[in-house]
Amino acid sequence: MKENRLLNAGVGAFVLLAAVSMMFLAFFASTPDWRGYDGYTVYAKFDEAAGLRARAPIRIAGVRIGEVESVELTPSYQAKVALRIDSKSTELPLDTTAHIFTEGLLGVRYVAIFPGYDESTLKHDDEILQTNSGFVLENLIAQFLINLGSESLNKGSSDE
Amino acid sequence: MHKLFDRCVRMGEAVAMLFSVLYAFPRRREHFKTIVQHIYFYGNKTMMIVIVAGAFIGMVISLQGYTSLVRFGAESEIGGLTAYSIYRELGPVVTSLLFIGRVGSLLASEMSMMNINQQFTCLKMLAINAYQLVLFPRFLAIVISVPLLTIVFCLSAVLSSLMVCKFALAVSTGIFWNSLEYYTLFTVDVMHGFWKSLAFGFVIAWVAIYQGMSAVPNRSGMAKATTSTVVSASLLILGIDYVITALFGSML
Repeated sequence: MKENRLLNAGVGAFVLLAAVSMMFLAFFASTPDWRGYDGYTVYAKFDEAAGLRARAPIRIAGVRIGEVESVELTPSYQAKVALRIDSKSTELPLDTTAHIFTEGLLGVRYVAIFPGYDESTLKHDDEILQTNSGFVLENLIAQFLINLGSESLNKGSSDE
Repeated sequence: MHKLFDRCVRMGEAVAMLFSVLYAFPRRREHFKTIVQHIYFYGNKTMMIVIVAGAFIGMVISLQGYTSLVRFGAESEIGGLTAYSIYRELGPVVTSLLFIGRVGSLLASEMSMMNINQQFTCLKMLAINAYQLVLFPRFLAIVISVPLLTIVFCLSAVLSSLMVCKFALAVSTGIFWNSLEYYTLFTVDVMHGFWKSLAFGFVIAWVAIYQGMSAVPNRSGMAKATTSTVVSASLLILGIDYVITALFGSML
């Protein structure tokens, strides 16, 4: 009888340990995505969203307030980005602008939001109308090189 | 041709046996008692080796990952790298391989030993359903134990990786947790490993019981059963792991 109780205690301890570990993994060692967000989703259309992926952070003044849910193509060939704001208490005015920025020169893309001054705020499924696309580094370099080339050409012609 | 036919026969036997084991759902109190007993013999006794293995694997992954990440200046992502690979792949697979070594071989040799000693015939004479009393409890105990052990493995690996990052690699705890939480989702990554380990437990139990039951009832047959359990269960686990990752890797 005593042997059996000891065995049951062992099994109980084992199951309990696994349960506690599961709790730990759920609450601390992973993003608790099973807990429904109390936030809301707004949309923004960008002409160019190269390098922006789902789960990229959304920031106001450098503080993370949510993440990009998805990036999709619209019929008018723009990138429609779903922005999930984590908390309802983060209220965004209607004339908010969204920009795609880069962390460092070659770092990860994120969405920076600059709140406007309007009295009314964006609701769930609303759209941020004023957007500013991210720059593509390759285009900038190409433009720079072209400018450099034409300048030196001009210089060459003026010297003659 | 004859060999192929033989293979098919064995495969069919294995499927038939799986159904008769699953059909023998316990109905009496003794059967449930046996289940708890076998969770103790299989799960608890394997816990120590799983925890130690998890700790060392977590440590070595963060050490090795750090040396490669630091070249790209991304050493702050070490927590995410470690946890992602452990939750999704290493946790279930390594736990299952250890479990095969520790329990699969034990179960196969136990089954074939019972066959040699004609204990199943004995039970039949006593009108006791061997599937209910002997096979189903062992099967269920394994299916329950493997996922639980996988969770323990994951926890042990993450904590030991945290220790290494904190004391040996000068990555602060905050940075570690930050990247870890950013890269792993509970319902996607942790549960992916969980479902995987459930499937692995099922496969281990099936292979071990079938090999043990179908062994030739003599000493060399028993040795063969033990060996082929370890070999075929390990290969099956690795193969199924690839299939599950390829099919459900992105959505689960």
